[in-house]
Amino acid sequence: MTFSKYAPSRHRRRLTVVCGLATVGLLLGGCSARVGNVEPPADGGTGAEWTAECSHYDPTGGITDSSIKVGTSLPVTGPNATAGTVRFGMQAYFDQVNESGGIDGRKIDLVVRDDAYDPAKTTANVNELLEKERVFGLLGVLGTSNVLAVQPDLQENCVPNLLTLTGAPVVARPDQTWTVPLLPTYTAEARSLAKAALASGAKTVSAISQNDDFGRAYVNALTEALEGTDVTITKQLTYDVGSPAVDSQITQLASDGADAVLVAALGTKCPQIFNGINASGWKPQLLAGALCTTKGLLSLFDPGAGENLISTAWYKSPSDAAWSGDSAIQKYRAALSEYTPEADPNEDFVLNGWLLGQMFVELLENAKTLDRAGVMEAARKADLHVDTMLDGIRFTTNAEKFEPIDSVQLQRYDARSRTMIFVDPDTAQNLPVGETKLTAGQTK
Amino acid sequence: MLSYACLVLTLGILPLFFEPFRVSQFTQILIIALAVTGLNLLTGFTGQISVGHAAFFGFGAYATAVLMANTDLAIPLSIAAGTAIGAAIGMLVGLPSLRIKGTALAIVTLVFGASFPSLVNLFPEVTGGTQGMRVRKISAPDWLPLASDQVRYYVALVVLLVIALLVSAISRSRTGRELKALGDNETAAVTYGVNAPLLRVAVFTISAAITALAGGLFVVTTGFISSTTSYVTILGSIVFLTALVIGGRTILLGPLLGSVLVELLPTQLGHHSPELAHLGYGLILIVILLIAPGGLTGLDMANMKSALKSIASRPVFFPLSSSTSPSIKKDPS
Amino acid sequence: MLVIQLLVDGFGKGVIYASLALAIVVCHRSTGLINFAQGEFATLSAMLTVVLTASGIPVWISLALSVAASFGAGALVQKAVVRPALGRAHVVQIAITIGLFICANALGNLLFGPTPRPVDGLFPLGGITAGEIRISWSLIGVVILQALVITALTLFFSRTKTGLGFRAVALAPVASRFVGIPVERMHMLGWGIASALGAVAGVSLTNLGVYVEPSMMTPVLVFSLAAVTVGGFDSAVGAIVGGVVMGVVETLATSYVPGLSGDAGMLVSLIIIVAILIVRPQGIFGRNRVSRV
Repeated sequence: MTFSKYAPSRHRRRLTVVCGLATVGLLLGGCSARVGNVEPPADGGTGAEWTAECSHYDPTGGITDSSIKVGTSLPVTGPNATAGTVRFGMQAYFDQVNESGGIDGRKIDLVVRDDAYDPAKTTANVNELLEKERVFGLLGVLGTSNVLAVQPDLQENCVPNLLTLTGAPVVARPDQTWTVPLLPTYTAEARSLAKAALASGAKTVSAISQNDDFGRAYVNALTEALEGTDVTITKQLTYDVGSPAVDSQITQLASDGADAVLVAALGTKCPQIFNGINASGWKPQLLAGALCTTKGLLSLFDPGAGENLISTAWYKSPSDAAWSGDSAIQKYRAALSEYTPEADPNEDFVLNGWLLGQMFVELLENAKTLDRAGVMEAARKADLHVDTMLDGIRFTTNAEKFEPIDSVQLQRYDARSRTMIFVDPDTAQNLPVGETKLTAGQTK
Repeated sequence: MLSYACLVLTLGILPLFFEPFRVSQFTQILIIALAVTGLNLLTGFTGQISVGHAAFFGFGAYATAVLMANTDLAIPLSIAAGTAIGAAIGMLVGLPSLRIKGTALAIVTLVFGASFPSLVNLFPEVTGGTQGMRVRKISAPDWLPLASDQVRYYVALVVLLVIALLVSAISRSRTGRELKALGDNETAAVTYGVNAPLLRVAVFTISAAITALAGGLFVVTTGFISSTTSYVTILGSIVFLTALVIGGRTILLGPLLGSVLVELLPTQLGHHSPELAHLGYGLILIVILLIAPGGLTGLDMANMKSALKSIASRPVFFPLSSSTSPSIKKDPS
Repeated sequence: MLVIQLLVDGFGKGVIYASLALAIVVCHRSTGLINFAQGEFATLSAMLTVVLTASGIPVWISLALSVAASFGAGALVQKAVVRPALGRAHVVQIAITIGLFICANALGNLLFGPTPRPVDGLFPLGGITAGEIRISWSLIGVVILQALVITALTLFFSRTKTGLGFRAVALAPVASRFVGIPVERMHMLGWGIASALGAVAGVSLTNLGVYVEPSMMTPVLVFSLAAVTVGGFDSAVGAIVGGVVMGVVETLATSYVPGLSGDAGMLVSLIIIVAILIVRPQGIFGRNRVSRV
């Protein structure tokens, strides 16, 4: 093994030449040196209450006479890349809106950057989107740590961080006035599931959760919601997202034998867990969140698995046959096949992206002035419903309410027909097809 | 040395001519180069592969972050503490290296590095787990006519240069020669009076310390760390190792060049298709390894010609010794 | 009895680790390299199996086709990428296998996509119940499959001319060449067999309920590498014993040690391998290599 401590001399000669040219080039190239802490002065604009504490505020950044440029940073590759397919839904909706003239004649230009679910890359992407692409705001940043990594800078620079794709309650804090999340929080979902547990008559509940903030938020909310009731929480086990099998956890929970079990999992771990529970012979009341029971995941259930599982819903899942005649879903499918045919229309995430696009356009149209503060105000004083949401679901924000969607629909899985049926949250009885009855919202 | 002075000058004036997000990108490259310099001390000098250096990066980063979040310790002291903790962990890892060598030790480092994120997730109240923790960033003091991002860049640059000088001094010293002898052939080196156990532990300690220092700098320049940050996972270990191998095992230029390529190549390729970018990056890595086995800084015409010839022709009789599996024997290269 | 059930679960996981570990050992015996990409190759084979079954081919035939394709691909990769690097520094060779890891992972993402998909079961659903212990048919099937594979491999290496030639090349490459054994082809054979074994490992994993997706085998790889290190790089027996031990200990430790949740399994394996290697650095079944200075 040869180890040369200094690069060979031919390299060093080349290095000198390159460096010399670079230095001279930079100095002479007319690039003005950036020296000194010069920043443009803060501008009040409308909505001075939003911009009072900005370090520097550019009201119309990203907006020209003909376009509104928005950016997003999502996992296109790497872990959670399936969730990154929201970009197809967003793109398709914006393409459709642009084709009919856009917003006041301005086309929406979506710039997508891949962060592979790495918050360090999210930070780099957002910096680039703001400084190089000069976007108006961020849409649909995905992942709790990813949003948390960029939230303070966006807050400081008064850049809208709209409709983030995370259910973590921590991103919806009152002091983060420039961030508005989209998804119902994990706590809201878990509270609804706790209600379902009570309604089902369970006396003991155990939990299996992902070993991250998502899992912890669910389990904490469940614990809180069941405090003071006569339901006890027995075993709480976790698993690592990266580990392939969860058999030992299921074995332990089955041996513990609680009446109900909360499954705070995502993706294909869900059917894995339900199939495992089914195989173990233990028959608890199964409780899981919306992302655990998309039709694609339901199709992976073994026969008989997941019977009477109760989960949550807040949008019309495109893979659910109940919505195949629904006009909102049909419009969505038509637009997808025209503008982003490479996307899978049955993927729930793609529909979420479409829904997000619809929400953003509503915010733009509701803004009193088409600038950052104006749109932010619209997002903070919103009362919206778009047609891909279930009946009754509303996105509402005000001075005291920072979690926009806080009521959800409970649904039960019927193993024979392999479909989800909506249930009444108070009585746990099936509702007639097409009817919804949401769990009560929690005002905070 | 004119060439190095020139390099430092160019690196020095860079932040004055680029926008903040670019300067932040450059800062990150400098920090990765620092981490790779740490790895270089271990792998470049003694030939011991580590596929787990991201764990040291992580220890330095989290130690600094936790101290800054829970105490009033100033930034330099927090980073120093992070470096010290990294050094301590390095020493702990160095101890098994007295018994376990070669590929076996490489695998131990792999498992060590792969288990770091789970270690972080075991204590979410302290570390934030997958949610992560925010850290105060270095900001420009009022009396300096520079923007904050530029100040962070200069801090990273100065630290990198100082550490490079340190490594250079080690390399030229007797200790450096002993380290290289150790890497070439440990049994022979011992007969010459080299204190192998002391050196082995020492090199792990210092190597870990340098990479931990990089981790500490990382959190005070980017402001956020979580167990999902790729630099503290096995992906990070792969990034450091490939940067070292691509760049070459010189003291400053190799890690710097390697880090530039490893950071910029996937993003540049990825503007069109991120999936293709990773494939392209892997292919480029393999090609560079085949035609420039000493890394890009170890490359010259003669070197490359002989590498290409050896690919094209059938391997001859005698240099086949590497095909038997030596865990103790060292390959001639 | 909870413990027995956990032992059964751990054994199942251990068999998977063992099967990938076996692939790594075969690869190492032939070219002296630990192939860090072995897991990703196995993932690609599993992806191929999914694609084949999705187009209507029965699952066992898909598996056979996938194994054959993996064999060919492994041999080709050895010829194209690994052989030119023979004689280079060890760091470079290891780095090349890491480059293969990156490429294989990217290829999986590109061609298969990120969405996980199941493989049709090789074995029927359900299982046998002995008292309170449930053992699924899949687990029994995977163990039997692996046993068959190991038997076939042992017979191949001890009874056939090619197999003996392979072992000769591993022990004494220069002498083998003198005797007329095609050394390069034996290297290709080694990588081919290793990739085929990886294909079986990948599909076995999916039969334990795991879905096929990119990076599906990466955690298994870490445990298998640990198993190989503990068992001895050249020892097939060591790989199998090491793999099973890893699986069982990981399961028991994360279930019984308070505070250690599911993902601390890797920490546990770290402690195990360091402990074992300090006592016996060449691995439990490894050979002590003597070299001239």
